This record gives sequence, C-alpha cells and structure tokens, in this order.
Amino acid sequence: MSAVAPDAGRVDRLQVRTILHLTLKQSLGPGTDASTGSRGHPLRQILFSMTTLGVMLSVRAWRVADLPSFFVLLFAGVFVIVILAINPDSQDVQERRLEILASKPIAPRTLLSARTLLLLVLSALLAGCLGLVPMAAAVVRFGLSVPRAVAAYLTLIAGCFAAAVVWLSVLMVSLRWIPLERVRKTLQFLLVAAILGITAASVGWISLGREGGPLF
Amino acid sequence: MEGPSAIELRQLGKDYGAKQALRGVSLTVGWGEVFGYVGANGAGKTTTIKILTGLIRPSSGDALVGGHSVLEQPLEVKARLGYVPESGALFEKFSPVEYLTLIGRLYRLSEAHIRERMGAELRSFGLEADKDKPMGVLSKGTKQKVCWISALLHDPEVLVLDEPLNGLDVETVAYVKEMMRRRAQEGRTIFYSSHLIDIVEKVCTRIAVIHAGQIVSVGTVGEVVAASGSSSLEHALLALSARAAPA
Repeated sequence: MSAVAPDAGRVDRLQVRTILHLTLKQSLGPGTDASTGSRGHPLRQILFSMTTLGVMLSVRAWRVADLPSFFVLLFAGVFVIVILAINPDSQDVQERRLEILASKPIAPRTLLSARTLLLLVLSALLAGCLGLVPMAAAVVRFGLSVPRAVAAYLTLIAGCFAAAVVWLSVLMVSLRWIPLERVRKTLQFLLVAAILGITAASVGWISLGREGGPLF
Repeated sequence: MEGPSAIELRQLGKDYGAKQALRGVSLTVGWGEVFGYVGANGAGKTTTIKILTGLIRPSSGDALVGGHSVLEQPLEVKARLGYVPESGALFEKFSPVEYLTLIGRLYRLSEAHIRERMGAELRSFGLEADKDKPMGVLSKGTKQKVCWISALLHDPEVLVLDEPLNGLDVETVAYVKEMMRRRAQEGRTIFYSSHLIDIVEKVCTRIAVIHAGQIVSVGTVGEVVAASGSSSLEHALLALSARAAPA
C-alpha cells in the first residue's frame, strides 16, 4: 500500500500542522545545530535578546515629548529588527529541507499555508518580545489606556508580519541576481548595525529631535 | 503491479545554465525490477533522481512513475515513491520515533499504521536502542537507517535510492540487499543509483550506464559487459565511458 495523494486544490490541515511542528522545533528547539555543531536553545536566546532590545526601545519613551513620536520610533525600530532578523536559510539547510519536504506528497496550497503560518509565528515571536516592554512604558509614561496599548501591540505584530511578507518577497526576487551567501552576510551586518543604532539612540549617543520636544 | 511501466523517462533533459546535465535520457523500468543506474561522478545520476522525486523540474522531456507524469501529477508520483537521498537529510533535533511519526503524517498515514510500520522497521534495522535519542547525537550510519525507514514507512510501489548504503554496517547492508530482493519479488520496483559496482552486480536485474548526461548502455549486467567487449562490469564502465564522446 502506497500513500494516497492529497487533493491538489485543498489545504490539508494535518500536513500544515506537521510541517509547522517539524520546522519550528528544528529552528527553535534545544539541541545541536547540524551546520555549526553548537549546542543551544534558540527560542530562549530569542526571548532573552529581543526582550532586552525591547527594554532599550522603551527607554526612548523618556527621551521624546509625546506618544506619536514614541510610536513612530518604536514601530520603525521593531519593523527594521524583525525583517533583518528573518534571514533566508543557508544553501545547505535549504537543500536538506527541500529533500525532505519536496519529495513528499504535499499540495502547493498546503505548503504555502504552512510557510505563511511559519512566518506569522516567527514575526509574532520577534515583534511580541520587542514590543512588550515599550508598550508597558507607553502606558506608564504617556498614560495610554490598557485596551489601546493592547490594540497598538496587536497592530505592531500584524504590521511586522505584513512587512516580513513584503520583505521576503523582495529578497526572493533579489536572489535571482545576488548570491544567497552575500544576502545573508549583508543582512547579518545590517542587523548588528541596527541593534547598535537602537542602543546608541536609547542611551543618548544619538539625538532624537529636540530634547524634551516633539520629534517631528 | 499491472498497467504502465514502473518508471519511464522520455527524452529527459536538464540544463544548468550552459551545462547540460542530462541530454535526452530515455529509459523504461518494469515492475519487480531492481534497476541499477550507474556512472561516474557528475554523469547525471543524481539529477535524474531529483527529477523523478519532484525536487527539480526537467528542462525538456518528462518522467512517469506508474503512468503518472512528474510534471502533470506530481502528488500522485510522490505518493507512490520512497526516496533515500545521498545526503541523508533529516531534522536532527527530533528522535527517530518523533521524526518518523511526523513523516508518516506527511504521507497522511493513520496513526495505527505509522506505529505498526515504524515498530517493524525499527526492529528490522536494529534501531530500537536509539529510537528515542535526538538524531543530532547519532552516528552517520544510524541516521542513514532512519532515512531508509522514512522511505519505507508508506510501503511505496517504487523505491528510489541515491547511494543508499553510505555509512551502513555490514549487517545492515546484508539486510538491505535481502529486503530489496524481497520487495522486487513482491512486484515493487527499486531504482538504485550507485557507483559501488560490486553491489550493483549482485543485486540488480538490469542496469543502465550513464555518461555525460546520456545513456550509453542498458541491459542485464552480462549484456552490458558483453556489449562493451570487456571481462567485468568495472572494465565495461571504463570502456563505455571512454568510448562515449561528449556532444
């Protein structure tokens, strides 16, 4: 008995869940990375580093005069960090995943749904950690109501997902002309630069408009 | 099995930029055959297999599995195929049991069927002691056994093997050879790509020799050796490769 081919026009929910389980545990779960040989717990590392960066972003609340200025800086900072952190996998990892998943009877719609959900989970994880402390800071510093803070938090996550979708589409097109490794290294460099920039702005090395006045 | 051939390659071509990896490869493999696909490194073996398994699209021609086209009905083809890749690709943060269960779900098998088949294959491959360890800490040979089980889980009609014995111990190689013969007797087909000539000679009912993207000889081992005017398959491969002039 061989397997039964799925209907090409339908999304198979069990396959979507299975692909998510496989890729999320492989990407975020504890263990030894096959490509680098290093042991670690990527999920804990992301939670810690992104929440710390969120604390840096929240310091800005006391360096600008009003809530709109703070939100402009917060949304811009989080969007930049999220899209730079979602870096395409290396050639080796992509080929290995392709050999496992592309040789299975998975309908294109199912695969697309799984990839979209995966991107949503990853962008929500990053934006969620980055935005949590700054939203609390907005409540404390500017008297933002909790329901509005929750709405702004969800908007931040949805915006990051949309930005990540657009950014990945641009990256996929750019890979036709630019080698994958060059794209990966450039993104890694830009991510470090962005983190340093956020840190510098938070501790006051970079001016954020007129001190005590509105940013714009 | 009845009806169309197990595998049919029709004028298969694949270009990587200016390089022609396959140049009009045509082959027919019947049900119940252990078919050897041999050639030097870079001859086009892995490219053929990647097209058969739906990993890449051909530049020209078509490949059919059980009468289903890889271009028109890729899901039907993939449901009928089991594939053991050369790379031994796995999701290494999972244990064999977790990984195989998830692979069974990707094939849309029932949980009872997955448990039954997985249990039997784990015993056959001698993997029971390692079945709950993360695969990242397992040896290359043990990981290759997991690759084998993941290809056999849905009991495929056609098994496509790309250098499948890499890293396996003597006992497992003996078991695999016996299992391939048994599956062929049951009417299933094995498409076996390798450069290990001695195993191809012992196991395969027919072979095709590929050189520079073209089939240069097809037949039983005896027929290929005789057609080349050589005394052994090894010498036949060398003679056929030397004789075949690239286009």
